[in-house]
Amino acid sequence: MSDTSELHYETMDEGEWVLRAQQGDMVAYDQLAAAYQGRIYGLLYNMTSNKEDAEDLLQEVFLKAYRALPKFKGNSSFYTWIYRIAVNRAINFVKKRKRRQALSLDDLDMGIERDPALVQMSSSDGPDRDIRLKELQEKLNKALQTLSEKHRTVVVLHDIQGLPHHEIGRIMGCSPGTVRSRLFYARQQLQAQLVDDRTS
Amino acid sequence: MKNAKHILLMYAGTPVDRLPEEIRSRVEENPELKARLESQARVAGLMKLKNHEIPDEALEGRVRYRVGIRIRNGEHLRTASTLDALPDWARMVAVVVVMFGLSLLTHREMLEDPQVENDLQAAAQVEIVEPIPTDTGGPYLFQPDSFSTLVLNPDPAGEVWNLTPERRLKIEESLLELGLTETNRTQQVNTLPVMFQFP
Repeated sequence: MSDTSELHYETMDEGEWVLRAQQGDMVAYDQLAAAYQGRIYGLLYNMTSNKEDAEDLLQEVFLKAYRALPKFKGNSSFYTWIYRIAVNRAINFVKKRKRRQALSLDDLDMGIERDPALVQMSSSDGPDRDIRLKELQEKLNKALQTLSEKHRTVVVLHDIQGLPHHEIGRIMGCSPGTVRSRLFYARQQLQAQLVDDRTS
Repeated sequence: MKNAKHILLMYAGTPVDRLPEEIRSRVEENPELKARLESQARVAGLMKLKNHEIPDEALEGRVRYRVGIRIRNGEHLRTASTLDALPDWARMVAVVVVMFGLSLLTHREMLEDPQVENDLQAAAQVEIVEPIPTDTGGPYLFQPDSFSTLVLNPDPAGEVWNLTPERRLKIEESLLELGLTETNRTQQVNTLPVMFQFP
């Protein structure tokens, strides 16, 4: 492990963190993990709709990335590279778990309540507001879980996390056109699912 | 001019009022296209709401701490087995194939071993020894490897009368020790439970 006492990690850029982490500097790797864990957790959570699974997967992604770090050549950004690891891990996990429905919606933090659009939509007054919020959250999660892994991934990366089509294409190893068509189809499925849910 | 399908794919998810002017005028002329674009934008907007689900505050520190510990413990050095990535049925097939392959190899090695031929020839030359005749009469055991029953044939013409006098005397003594007299033995008892001690 390198001597890190004289280094100022806050002033380093991502490239330097990566370089030092590749040499076994744990502090540098911790900086990288801190920079990306929020977004990667969001991806994993929305792919699995389960907090515990997402947290376990997040640890595995960082372990796997640390193991593979010496092979990282910098052909893509570190961000794209680690996202690719996370997407592959999430897809594999969801495939394996397919037969086990595991939604822990009750455990979710209700940060969603702070969204003005949602607050308006779910009528800000009234005792059943919380119930409506939770119901909507549950419906969105359930609808997402009905999509195939690839369709779910594009919805999570684009509509939830706001990544551009070409970036998603790089992460998933397909063209931006494929990303667009998957997104279109996925939204149609979601729309049908949400309407079905409402009518039933 | 861009066709409707192209517009649908390129601008799906964007609210109609935020489309570029040229595209918006095309969309306004086509109600079906407009409805589909609005539907896509509605779903995209709903999904954006999920972005506001916030993990608990301790998650960040907890995950990094655990990852740090696992790396120090060398967990990242353990390579994941390829078998782990396979479904259960494929893993079972893989195990069976490996076992079959190993048994073939072992069998082949055994057959190709020159010592085997020598052993077979030596075995053919060994003089076969006839079994020594033994006295098969008298009490015998059912299920000799478990809790067994010693059977005495009450038929005077049967095996019991083929016992040697010494053996018969020994059995008589054993029966007397168990409180079985000559009278009640013949009338009531034909079988005796006997427990054998294994070495």
